[in-house]
Amino acid sequence: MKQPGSVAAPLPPASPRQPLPRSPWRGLLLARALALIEERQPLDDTAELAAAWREGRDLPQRVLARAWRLGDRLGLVSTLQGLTRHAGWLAVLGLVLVLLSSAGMLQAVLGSGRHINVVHAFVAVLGLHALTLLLWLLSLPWRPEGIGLGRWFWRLEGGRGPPERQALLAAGLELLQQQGLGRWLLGALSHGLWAMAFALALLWLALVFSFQAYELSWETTILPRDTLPEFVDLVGRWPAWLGLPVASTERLVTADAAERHRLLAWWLMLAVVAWGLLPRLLLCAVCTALARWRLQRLAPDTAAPWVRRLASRFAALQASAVIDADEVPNAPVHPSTAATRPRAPLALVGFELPPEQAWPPPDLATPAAGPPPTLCLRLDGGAHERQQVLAALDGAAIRSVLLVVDGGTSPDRGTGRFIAALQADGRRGLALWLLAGPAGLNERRWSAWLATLEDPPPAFDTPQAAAAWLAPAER
Amino acid sequence: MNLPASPLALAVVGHTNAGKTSLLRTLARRREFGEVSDRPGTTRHAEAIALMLDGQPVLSFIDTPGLEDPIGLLTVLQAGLQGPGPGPGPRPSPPERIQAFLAGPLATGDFEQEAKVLRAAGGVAALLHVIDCREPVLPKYRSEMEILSWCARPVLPVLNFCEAAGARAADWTAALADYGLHAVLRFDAVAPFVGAELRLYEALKTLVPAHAERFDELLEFLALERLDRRAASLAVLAELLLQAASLRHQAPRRTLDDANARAALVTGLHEALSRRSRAAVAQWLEIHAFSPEDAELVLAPFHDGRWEADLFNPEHLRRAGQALGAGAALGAGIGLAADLALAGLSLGTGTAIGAAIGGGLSQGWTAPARHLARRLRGLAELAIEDAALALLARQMLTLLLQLERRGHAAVQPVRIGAPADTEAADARPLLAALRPARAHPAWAEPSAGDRRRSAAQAAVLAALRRQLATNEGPPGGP
Repeated sequence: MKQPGSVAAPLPPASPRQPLPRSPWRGLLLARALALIEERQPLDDTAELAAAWREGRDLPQRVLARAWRLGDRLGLVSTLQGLTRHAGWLAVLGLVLVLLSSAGMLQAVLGSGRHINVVHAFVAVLGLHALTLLLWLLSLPWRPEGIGLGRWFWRLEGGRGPPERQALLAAGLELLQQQGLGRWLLGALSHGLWAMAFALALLWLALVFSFQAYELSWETTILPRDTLPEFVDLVGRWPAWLGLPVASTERLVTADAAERHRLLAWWLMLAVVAWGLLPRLLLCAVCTALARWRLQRLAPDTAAPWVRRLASRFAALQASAVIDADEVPNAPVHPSTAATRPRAPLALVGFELPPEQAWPPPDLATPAAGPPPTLCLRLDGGAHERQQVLAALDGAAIRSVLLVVDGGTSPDRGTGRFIAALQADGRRGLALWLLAGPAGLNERRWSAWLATLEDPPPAFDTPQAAAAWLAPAER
Repeated sequence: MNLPASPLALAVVGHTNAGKTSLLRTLARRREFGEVSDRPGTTRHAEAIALMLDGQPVLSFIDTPGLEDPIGLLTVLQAGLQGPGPGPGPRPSPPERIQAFLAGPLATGDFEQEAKVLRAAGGVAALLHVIDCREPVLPKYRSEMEILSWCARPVLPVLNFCEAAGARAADWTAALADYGLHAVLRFDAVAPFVGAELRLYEALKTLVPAHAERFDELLEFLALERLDRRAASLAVLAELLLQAASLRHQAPRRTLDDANARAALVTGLHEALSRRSRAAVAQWLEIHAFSPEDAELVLAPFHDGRWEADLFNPEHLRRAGQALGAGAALGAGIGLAADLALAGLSLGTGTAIGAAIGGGLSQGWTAPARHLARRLRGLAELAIEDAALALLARQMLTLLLQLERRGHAAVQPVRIGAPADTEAADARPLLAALRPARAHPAWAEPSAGDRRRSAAQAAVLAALRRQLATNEGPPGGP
């Protein structure tokens, strides 16, 4: 396992092995294995997540980039490399299979001394092949996820070794099940092995036939006389159609013995080529092409839960940019000064109140509030109106104002400027009454905001408090 | 996809505390973007966030500070018009006046924040004017509209909080029409958010027709994302239900004679189910980009037992049982009888919970041999009943619909209440799809590579999709 630091290092990893090529298949395998590990225990992937975010353009690319980086750090990549070396042993096993089956074919043909019955040889060589091919073709309409071999492999290999290895194997099995990938890969493998076995057997047969004399014929004890020639003729049609030089039955019957042995040997070899080697080669090519096509198209399923969860985490990485920073620090917070006593003449001013608010507020018309104030004005906050109200206050020489505002709204700098204008540099006393508006009352917002004003006026949020402030005014 | 590299910039403007940042959180699906609070003027700088599509930024939203003193600002701008002009030249146009203001001393002094808004507005393709429509249409708001009209940019008014009590949407629509703004988007940053995102982009498309293709691609991308999120969520739910259906706890038969031991067994089973449900909800929150803090809030009912009461409440089970239909009820009955005979449990067992789950279809139909072996060994099994599974599915689907409609500015946690009696989807297909899980105790844990399990999962998914379609009702409804 590599050290965690080796990910960020610009040098190639210290491992002497060749780095694994980054195929989509391997990336997806790593990503899925990591997701399986993460289901049990979350991984610390902050650095890899950020790097993958920069590296990839879209979600699938980013998921794979993260998998490669994280897999490298956690040693999954080297585990995968170890597992791929097992593929070497699989190849040896395959070669042994090829040798065994070609030896079996030769035994079927040459096993009975120098005398060969071609029909018997043909059936013996191609019988098992025909049976397995038929089974494979019949399995095609079934669901592609049926991999018995995968479960066998799992029993053999799964559940052993470190959790990374188990996760990789489970992820591999899952991927093989997806989209019939396993079927085409296995198909390519088995057809390829058969084709190799046929090729080897044919080569050997050609060598044997070249340098040893065999007697080839067809013979029977109980079958009708014409059956075997007809069979030979029937079998020969397909290679002949392919353009292979197969002798016709008439020629076989008319030829002399030595020529007939030669022609029958060719017939046997060409029949094995046309009925055994070529179909297997063709199917191997088709399966390989399909498997390659699917392998190339492998990508993380963007609708899979584990990919969606990564998507959310990637999306959270996108930074917002401050483009016009706040240069003025927050205004200093002034402690609220003690409620200054109001002095007559008094004015009651309603500022930016909702239209349905009764004016003057009926709550205030209590005996405790004393006589009505000198001025009772209400304004919506327009610039012209503000000038008029300020002029009226100056005209009546108002010395104290109770400003009534909607305590449910948000205070703003416009309100602040009007308050400052009302205070007239401290020449006029001011108190605020926060009226509970349609949206209720938000006294915390208001008191926090009032504290940032240069000369914070006292504020009340009940009519009783406002009336009490008005009452003791010296008139 | 063939997009220019530079994103289309849109500025979000409005009065202080109108909900500009909340709108952006919802649009960007970013719960933690900016700072949202009750304090006035929370956002004091202009901040941009890009909407990415295939690694390319397509839109850039600029969050601006509030226009706090539009009346003062308008006075200043108008004064700039009347001021001593240089000779008999033509009157400056509104944008020129704004440029003059931005170059002047007030833009760095008293009106510094407003200047940030106007600077941002100068460089964008369109303005989203966020309005708190609970407010009366005061002169300051009219000034705001006038100032924004001076920016010479297309404006899309967004009526926020239009679902709130005391909203004056009609007053605002009329006032906006006075300023030539007739296309208005209704939106509620906090209330469930249904399709407002789509309507917003559609409206922007008509407002900025030069970039219609960009909006089309964005809409297509968003629709795909939505489908992917739903598919992923349903896969999580299917997995949860499979695990719940295969979950079983074994105990020696004689322990069941003891009421305490029996209760402990039931509690253990319930705990195992809650643990799995919590994990599934946590995954959903992650998939929908809600923060884990929401998980605790959402899961609170799990801890305090309310959820338990909901799921295993006999009354709810009885109601859900009505939706199961005769066939499934018969199946459940047979399984129940077999296990009752074994375990000596009766429907009269002490607690309501015990009555609700006691028994179950532990072995389904497929494993009589195992059943017999267990009987000989003197073991009884507890599993979760069909009715409880159906109810769990229903509650989870309700939660999913709520999560899908939830805005990312919402602060209130999602609550899963008791399901309503009406519009109950037929649970039979779902229960039929879950039946294979009864025969596989190993499916109670996650595993990969088992093809029978993935086939069962696909069947459960299909049933869930059908059920969700029934729950959702006609598409496009609020």
